[in-house]
Amino acid sequence: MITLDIVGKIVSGDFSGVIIRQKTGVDLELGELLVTREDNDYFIMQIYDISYGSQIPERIRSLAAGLKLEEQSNLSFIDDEISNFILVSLKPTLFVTPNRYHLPKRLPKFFSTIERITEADIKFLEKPNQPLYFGKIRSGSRVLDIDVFLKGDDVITHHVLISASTGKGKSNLVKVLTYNLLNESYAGLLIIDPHDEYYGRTKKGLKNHPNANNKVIYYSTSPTPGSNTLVLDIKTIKPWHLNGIVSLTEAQLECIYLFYNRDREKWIENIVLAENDDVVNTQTLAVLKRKFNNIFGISSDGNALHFRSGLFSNNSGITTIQNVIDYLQNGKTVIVDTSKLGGEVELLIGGIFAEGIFSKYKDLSSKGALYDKPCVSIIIEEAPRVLGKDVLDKGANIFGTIAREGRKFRVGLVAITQLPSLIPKEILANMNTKIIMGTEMSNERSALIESSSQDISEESRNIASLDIGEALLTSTFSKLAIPLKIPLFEDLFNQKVPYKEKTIPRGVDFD
Amino acid sequence: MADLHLGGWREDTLREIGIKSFEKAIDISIEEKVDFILISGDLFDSSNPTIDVMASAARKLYQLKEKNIEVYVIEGSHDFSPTGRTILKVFQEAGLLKKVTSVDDVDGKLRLRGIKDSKTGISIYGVSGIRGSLEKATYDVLDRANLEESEGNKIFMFHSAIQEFKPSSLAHMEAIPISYLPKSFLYYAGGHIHDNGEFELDGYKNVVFPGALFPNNIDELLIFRGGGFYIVSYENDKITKKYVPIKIYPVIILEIPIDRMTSFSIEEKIKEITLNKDFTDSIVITKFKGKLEGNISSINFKKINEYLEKKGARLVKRDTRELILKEYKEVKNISFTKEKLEEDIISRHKDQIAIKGCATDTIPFVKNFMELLSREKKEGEKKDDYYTNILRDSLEYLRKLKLLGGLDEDNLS
Ligand SMILES: Nc1ncnc2c1ncn2[C@@H]1O[C@H](COP(=O)(O)OP(=O)(O)O)[C@@H](O)[C@H]1O
Ligand SMILES: [Mg+2]
Repeated sequence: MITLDIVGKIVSGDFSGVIIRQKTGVDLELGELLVTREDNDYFIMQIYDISYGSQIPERIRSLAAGLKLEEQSNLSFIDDEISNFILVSLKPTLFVTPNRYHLPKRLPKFFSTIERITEADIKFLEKPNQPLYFGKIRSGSRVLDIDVFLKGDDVITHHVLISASTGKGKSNLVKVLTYNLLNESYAGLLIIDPHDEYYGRTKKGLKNHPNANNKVIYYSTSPTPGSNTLVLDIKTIKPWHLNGIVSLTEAQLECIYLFYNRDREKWIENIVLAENDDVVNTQTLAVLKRKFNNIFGISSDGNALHFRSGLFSNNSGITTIQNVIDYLQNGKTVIVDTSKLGGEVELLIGGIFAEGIFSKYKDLSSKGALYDKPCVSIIIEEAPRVLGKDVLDKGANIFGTIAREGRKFRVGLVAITQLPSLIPKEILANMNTKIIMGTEMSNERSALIESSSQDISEESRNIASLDIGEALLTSTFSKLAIPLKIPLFEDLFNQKVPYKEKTIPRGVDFD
Repeated sequence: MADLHLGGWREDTLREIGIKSFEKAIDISIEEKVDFILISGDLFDSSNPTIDVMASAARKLYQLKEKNIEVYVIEGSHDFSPTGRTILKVFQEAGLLKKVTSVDDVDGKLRLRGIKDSKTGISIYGVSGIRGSLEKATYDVLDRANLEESEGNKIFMFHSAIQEFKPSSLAHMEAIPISYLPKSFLYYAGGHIHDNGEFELDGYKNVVFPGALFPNNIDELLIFRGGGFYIVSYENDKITKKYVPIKIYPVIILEIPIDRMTSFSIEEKIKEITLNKDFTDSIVITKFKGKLEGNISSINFKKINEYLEKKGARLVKRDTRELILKEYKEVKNISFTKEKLEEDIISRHKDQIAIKGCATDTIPFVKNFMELLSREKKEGEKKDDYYTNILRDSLEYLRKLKLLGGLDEDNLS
C-alpha cells in the first residue's frame, strides 16, 4: 500500500460529514478528493468545509493572540501545532471495491488515515460507447489526468443545463463538447449562436476540426465563402412558428389563421399586401402589418413586397428549413449565426429549426424509424428567454415542449444560462445532466442544488468558489457528482497538428 | 443557355428533338444578332457523344463561327471528364467554342484568367460542374478577391445548384452556397438546374438559370413539357432578360383514369377521351391512374400506342406510376429515371457501409464510382485499353478520395 501522501486522520463525524484532522504542513482545499483505504477497497471523499480546531480554550487563545500581537510575550505552546490544527469536513461520495463501485452505505473506520487521490484511484471510470467528453477530473484546483466521458446519447436526449456567471467559461465548455462530438456520428447538433463564437470566423473554432468539411454546416446572414446564407423564404413560415415567441392577441391569431386557411403559404404576403378587408378588423390588420414589418422586415410599397433585411425573402431559401432538418438527421453540426439578429427574430429562427426537427422525429417515431437516426441536441444561449417561468406562463413555445417531451423523440436541449432560478423547477429537474460552473449568487446555487441528480447539498460553497473553467458535473447517468476541469478550447489544438486533407481542384484548366 | 444534353434520351425521336431544340435556339440567336452565346455546362449528355451527335453540333457551331458569334462554355456534370479528354476540348481546338475555365495557381490560390469578349469588352469567367459537386474543392481555393477587384463588366458561368436558390422539389440535391461565387458581377450564368429561374441575394444580382433547352427525362417532360433559354441585353447600365421558350413538338399529357376497368374498356375509355383531340406531331404521355384488376400486362399498351400514333402522335410514352395493382401494394414515390432509382437504392442502403475517412458523402461516392465502372466501351477503343482505362480511372478516383489506404496499385493491376 502506498502511503506517501497522508494528509490526515479521521477524528469524528457522521454520515453527513466525516471530520478529519489535517496533518501539519499539508494544505487541503475545498473540493479536493481524498481516499481512505481498507484492504482492497477504498472510500472516495470530497472536502466541503474547513475550520480551525484547538485544544486550548477560546478565551486563552484570544488572550495569547493579543499578547503576541503586542509582542509582550513568547508563549510558544500557544502556536504549537500539536494543540492547534485544521479540521476538514469530508463527504463520503463513493465506495470502490475491485469489481464495482457504489454510494457508501457505511462509514470508514475511525482514525483511518486519509490520502490524496491519485489517478489510479479513478481508473474505474471507463470510456462508454457513444462517448461525450467533458474534461478532466479535478481535485480542488489540482487537475488529474483522467478524462471524463458519459454516454452521449443518454446525456443528450435527457437535456443538459450549463450554468455559470458570465465569464466563467460556459462558451468555452460548449466549444469543447461540440468539438469532440465532431469525432462521433451519434448526434446531430443545432447551435443557435448569438455571439458568432462557435464556427470560428476570425479565430479557432469548430471549422478547424479535421472533420469540419463533412460535418460542420454554418449559416450566417453574412456568410464566409463556402458557407450558407441564412435566408428563409416566407412561404416556408407557418403560423405556429410564432407560438410563444411573438406575442399575439386572440384577434390577431384569428386573423392569421383566417389568411392561412385561405391562402396557405401566401398568408404572410397577403396580410402585408391586404387592403382593408371586410372580414378582418382594420385595426387588427394594421397591427399585424406593423408586427410583420418588425419581425420579418416585410412591408408593402404600393402593391409589391419590400424586404428590409436579407433574412427573409420570397425568392431565396425555400429549402433552408428542410436542409437544416436533413443535416441534423444525418448527424451534422449546424451552427446558426444569429449575431446580427434581434432577440425575437433569433428565437423565431431557432424555434423554426427546432420545431422542424422535432416534428420530423415525432413523425419518424410514429413510423418506428427513430432509432435509425442520430439523436439531436439543440444548444440555446440565455435559455430563460424561452424557458423562463414568465415566458412559459404567457404561452407554450417549442423549446418548452422539447424540454418536456423531447426525450421520447430523441431531441434534447442544451440550455445555457446565468440565471437557472428563472427556469421552472419541473423543467430544471428534467434536465438530467447539469454542468455547474462558478456561480456567486446563492439563490442561483440553490436552484441548481435542489434540482441535481446527486445530493450536492454540501457543495454550495464549492460552487461559489469555482474558478474559470472549473465545474461540477451532476448527472442521472453518473454514479457520483464529478468535479471537472474543462480544457481551454484553444489548447486542444496544441496537442496534435490536425491533419489537413489536400483535394485536387476540378472544373478548371491548368495549362 | 445550359443543359442541352445533346445525345441524351434513348428514343431516337426524343434525342432528335433535343438536337432540333439546339438548332432552333441557335437560329433564333443568329436572327436576334446576339453578340455572343454562353453555354453553362452539359452541352452534351456525355464527354464522348456519338459521331452523329457531334456532327450535328459541329455543323451548328460552325454557322455561329461564320457569323462571328463567339460561344463561351464551361463543362457540366455530364460532359466533364476528369481526364480532360472531352468533345469540348476537340471543339475548342477547332475554334468552335471557347472554354472560360483556364486558371493559374498563384500561391495556392486559383486565379481564373477569364476571356475578354472582343466585341463587347465583357470579361467572362467560369468554373465547370462535376458530378457529386466535386467542384467545391475548386471554389475552396478560388481567388475571389482577385475576381471581385478586376476591372470592367464581368460575367460568371457556373454549373452547380445553388443552395439558397434550389427549388423545394430539389431540396436534397447537392448544392454549393452562393457565397462561393465572386460578388458584384454583372451577370451569373448558371446551369445544372433544369428549371428556369432568376434570383438575387445580397451582393449577387442577375443570377439566372435558363433551365434545360429540352427536358431530359420523363419527369421533366411531365413537369416542364418544354425548355428554353435567355436573351439578355445590357444597355445604359441596365440588364434586361428575356426568356425564350423553345417548342419543337407539343407535349400532351393524357390522363387515363382506369378504376377497375378491363383491358377492353380501357381502350374504349381512351377513344372516348381523345375523341375531339388533335395529336398531330405531338409527344403524348399516357398517364394511367387508378386501381387495376389483374396484372399490368393485361393492358394492351401496344394497341393503345398504335391508336394514338394513328391520330398523329410522333411518340407515345407511358407513365404507370400511379397505377395501383391488385397483387401488389401501392408503390409510392418510385422514381422513374435510372439515376433516381439508383440514388433511392443507394440512400436506402448507405448506412450499412461505412467508408472510413472518405472525403465525399456516400451517395455521390457510390454514384460516381458506379458510373466509372459502368462506362461502356467507346467506339474504336481496344478491349485491353478499355480494361486498363477503367481500372486506371477507378484507381485515380479512389486515390483522390484517399480510399486506397496502404494498397499498392501496382499490385492491383
Ligand atoms: N476551461 C478554461 N480554461 C482556461 N480559461 C478559460 C476556460 N474557459 C474559459 N476561459 C477563459 O475565460 C474567458 C471567458 O470564457 P467564456 O467561455 O466566454 O465564458 P462565458 O461564456 O461563461 O461568459 C475565455 O475567453 C477564456 O479566456
Ligand atoms: Mg458565453
